[in-house]
Amino acid sequence: MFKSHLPTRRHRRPGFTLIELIVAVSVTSVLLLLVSRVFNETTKAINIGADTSQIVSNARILSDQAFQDAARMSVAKANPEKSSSRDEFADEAGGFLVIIQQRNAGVRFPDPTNTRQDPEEWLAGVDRNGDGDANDPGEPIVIRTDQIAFFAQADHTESITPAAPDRYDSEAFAPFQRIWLGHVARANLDGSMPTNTEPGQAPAAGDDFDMSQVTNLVIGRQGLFILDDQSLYPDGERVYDGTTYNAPDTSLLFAGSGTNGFQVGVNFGVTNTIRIDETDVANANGVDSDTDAYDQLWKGATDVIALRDPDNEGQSFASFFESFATGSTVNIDGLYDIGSPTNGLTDPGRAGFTRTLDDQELPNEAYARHALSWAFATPGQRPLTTQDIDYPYAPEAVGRNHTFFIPYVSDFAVDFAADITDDYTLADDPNTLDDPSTTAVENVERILLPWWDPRFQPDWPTGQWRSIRRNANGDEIFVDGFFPDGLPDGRPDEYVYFQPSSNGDVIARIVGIKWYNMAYDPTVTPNAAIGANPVWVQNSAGVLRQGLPFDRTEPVTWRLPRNANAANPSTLGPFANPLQLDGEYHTLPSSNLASSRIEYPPLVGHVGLPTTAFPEPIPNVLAFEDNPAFPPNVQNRAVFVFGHTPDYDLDQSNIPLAAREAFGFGTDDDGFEAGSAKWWPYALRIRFRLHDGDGTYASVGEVPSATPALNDPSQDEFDPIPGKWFEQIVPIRHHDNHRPDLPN
Amino acid sequence: MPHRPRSSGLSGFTLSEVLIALGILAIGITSVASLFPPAILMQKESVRDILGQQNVRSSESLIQAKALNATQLFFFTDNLFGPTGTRISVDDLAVDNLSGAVLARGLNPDAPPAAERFIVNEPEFDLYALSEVDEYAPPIPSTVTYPIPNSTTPVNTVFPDMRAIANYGTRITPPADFPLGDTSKFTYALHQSMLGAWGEIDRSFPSYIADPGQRELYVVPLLRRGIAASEFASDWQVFSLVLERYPEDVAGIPEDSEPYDDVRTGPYPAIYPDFAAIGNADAQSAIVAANPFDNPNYFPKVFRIPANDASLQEGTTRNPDNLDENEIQLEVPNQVTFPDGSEGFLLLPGDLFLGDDGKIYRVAGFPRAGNFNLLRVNEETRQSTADFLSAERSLRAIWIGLRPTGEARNPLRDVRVLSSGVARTEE
Repeated sequence: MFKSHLPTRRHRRPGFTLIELIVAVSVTSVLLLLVSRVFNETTKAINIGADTSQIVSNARILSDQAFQDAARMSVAKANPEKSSSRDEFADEAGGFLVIIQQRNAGVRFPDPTNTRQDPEEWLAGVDRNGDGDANDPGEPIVIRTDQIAFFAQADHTESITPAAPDRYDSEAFAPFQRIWLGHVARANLDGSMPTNTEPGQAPAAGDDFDMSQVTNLVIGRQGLFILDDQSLYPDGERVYDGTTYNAPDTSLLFAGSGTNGFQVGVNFGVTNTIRIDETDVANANGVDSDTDAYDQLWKGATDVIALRDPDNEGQSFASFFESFATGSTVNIDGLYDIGSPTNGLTDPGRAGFTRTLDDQELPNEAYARHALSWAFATPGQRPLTTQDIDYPYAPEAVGRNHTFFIPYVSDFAVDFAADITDDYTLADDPNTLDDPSTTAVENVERILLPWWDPRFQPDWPTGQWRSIRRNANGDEIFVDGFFPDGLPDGRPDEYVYFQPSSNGDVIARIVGIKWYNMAYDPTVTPNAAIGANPVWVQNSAGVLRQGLPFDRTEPVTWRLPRNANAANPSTLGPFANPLQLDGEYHTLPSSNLASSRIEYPPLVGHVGLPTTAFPEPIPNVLAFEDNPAFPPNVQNRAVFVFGHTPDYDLDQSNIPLAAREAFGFGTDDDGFEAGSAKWWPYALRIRFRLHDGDGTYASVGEVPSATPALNDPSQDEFDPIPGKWFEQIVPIRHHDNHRPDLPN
Repeated sequence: MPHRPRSSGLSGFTLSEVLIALGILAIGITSVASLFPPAILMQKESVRDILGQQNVRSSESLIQAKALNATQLFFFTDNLFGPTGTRISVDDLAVDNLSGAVLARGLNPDAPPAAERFIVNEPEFDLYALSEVDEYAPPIPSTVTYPIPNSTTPVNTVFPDMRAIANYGTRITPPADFPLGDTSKFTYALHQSMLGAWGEIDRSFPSYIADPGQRELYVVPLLRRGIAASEFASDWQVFSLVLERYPEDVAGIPEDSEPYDDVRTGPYPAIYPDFAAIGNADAQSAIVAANPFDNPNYFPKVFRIPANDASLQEGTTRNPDNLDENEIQLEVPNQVTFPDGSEGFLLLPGDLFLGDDGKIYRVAGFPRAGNFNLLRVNEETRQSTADFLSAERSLRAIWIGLRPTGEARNPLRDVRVLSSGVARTEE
């Protein structure tokens, strides 16, 4: 009985057999493996997607803001006589535009912290500093660290900064902003300025941020309101520090012919974010060795509009319109002569300063916090600090007012499209450039445009140009030639390509808009004769034609005139030999091109396009093996200053052609209306390379891995590049009367 | 009493049960996982849209920078000169056998096929491709030499399309120059030779990609004179057709073909041979490429296709289908053979196109069975300044992006109406 009630083994609860378990576990394992792979891949994709979102978001903010700013840009004034009232002033005001193109070497992309990609590995074997030597994989990358600054009509924008005595407040009227965009340095954690502020520079002792790391590179934007507060001038004047200042004549802002008008585009005495400094010559490694304090300030030492430490009332006039307007009464010379009345640019210690915008500095952390909290403090949100560029605030608020704008930006390049009558684009074949009677290269003195109207010179050949040059003996030489572009036609210059047709003739083709920049052609021997210098088109014989063949042995920094009377272009005096002047001022269209320095980028054949038709977009994206970038004797910086004509009725005959061209004087010779801004750009191309927070994001398929030959199948192969490139072309408004006087 | 076996619920799972369960689990997990790729795809799309907006804005910036020459545009739209240098006439069109662009502008679809079918163009309503504007250029002078020193080759033998160099300087009013080009004689000649003043380099973005064949976005601008335009006021609309590049080399076009070589020889639609055999002669001639000189290997083409809408009188030969309000009838077969031999449609549901009434449409479907030439369309609600004009002007043609093969998707991604006022008036 007892036994019979015992459960038998047969009826016990059945379990899994070992086989079943093994099978089930195995299947589960396989499934989990597969699933985990799916999720891993998904997670990876999501991470990349998040990085992409961050980068694209930043790109959108940057391009939107740049677009808005450019739309408000005050271009050169066409007719200064028009402006007397503020309303007209708003429509017709002139301004200046400064584009600084610069390279900085030394930027490194971080070693990979994950297994995603390895930017350094991609760059192995690539010569990256462009010093002209063989491949040096350890070399850092050269990036473009351009800046752009201009006046913009403030329209209805207002500072969000609270009012403070003698500062911008709601009672004041700020008709203009000075917009500045460029790389900025990160202040130290205690708010002090670091020693090394340049992108690519390793931190000096005491510096908290390594500017050679791409994750520390920040694009800044400053919208500095320019105040026009006549109430500061009771009875038309104001005494400050024992000096009496007359109220500025705002009706003449930027364009007046009086003593108070902002007359010369280059006279931006308070723009200490802009470095125009004769000492700024980079060393062989592309690193700016200049250590003066102003250089350290030019990037990143700016703050929100007109903000200063309220405890430091000793500084006045900061960011006020007066500083701009009255600044022009002082010689341009003063811009970098320490001890001159304004010396706004180069006095490191601020000695003798009376109207220096110290408010743009971040002298200490307390000040920084104070100022920044003024600008951005919001209950419940942590204040923006100089240490942390995560923004808890609306990006547009940050963008409009604060220097720290977009983080993780390596390259920032600003090129421009303009209508520049540069003599060398008019040059004929090199072998006809020289006067046959001498071996000297002529100084092209004048280009006449007979095609403009046959009534000018009816006996001249149609469709050609004639340049008037002088040889070493001073004799006039006429050289007729073929004209690709470069005529003052009121439209941006374009590249021209000469293509043999099937019947042996040559077809000239305009390929596309010409973006001016500082790049150069590494395939041409530096310092070669003009006739053999860089080219961008081919003629019928396959000979490369000249582009802008500037001498690469000289730095391209265009200096301000040292002429003591150079406050006004009418008093510039002759440019007898600009190369021999200390601190001469060249603009791109200067007729003395032998001393102007701009070079063209490498010429790359492109599938579907004529070889050498147009340049590599940014030659320093990567220094390709066959395209070593930036030999040491190439300039690191180009400064383009676009001003306007201040004096409509000036006697043109007393002004040398160089000065006329430099400052945009109209002449009857080229059909331009006097006072026009004929060389102002028509569009800006802003390109920038963004990165994610750890700098490891990579994009693929945007930059050819090597210079492709025409129809070379390898052109389809691309190397991945660190970061992601973006581009925004922005227009610059031109008045109708900036156009040339066309014959009718 | 037979022993009652334990219920199966207490027994272990069988292998098959486990496998089934695992299978279900796998399906579930896979389903969840499958949600991610679409999300990623959507994100990619959104990124592409943002980049596309940047590129479109860049294109608009360049259009503004280069500007249109208002005087020349007025001249073009108001003074149509034929090859003889006189105002254009039907005889001119017939005798000189001008291209379809000119004919298309002169056709009155409601008139019988005779001389009176030619009507004056309607500058306030018509859309003009840049290449069409070029068609109106003055005749080729036979005595002008090509403006390269030491070259005496007659210009018209060098490049048959170069025109009017000699005439240019003597005109009181600038001739119908290429509107986006320069006004100098020489650059004028250059533009005539290649339409390069507004070439594909400047209409493809982003420009930092060196090879335009690899760029992401292409733009084809069309022009229309605004109704407020006058002799003294510029009022031009620019419709910007935004296109994706062809995904790969288009079949039927030799890969090693020089993009600029001989593209212009022969009627352009010849590269799409089917177009030469569709529709009647009028319809063929009315097919116009808006960007005939762009590299066909990667640059999507925009074509003008004659079409009608419900404004036509019902029951006539022009409107046999009695079109409804939201229907558009193509005058050429929608079903075509593409160069690679594939069969396909010019327009499919979802495709975007621009009507020459200034409206932007999207194909909603084929409302009548078997008739693929008749489209039901929805008007896009995006910005269009043409609404107030539509009542005054019936649809005559549509501008479409042409897919490279029958299977490819339509390259036209967007149509933007740029603000007017980009034209500059000569002073």
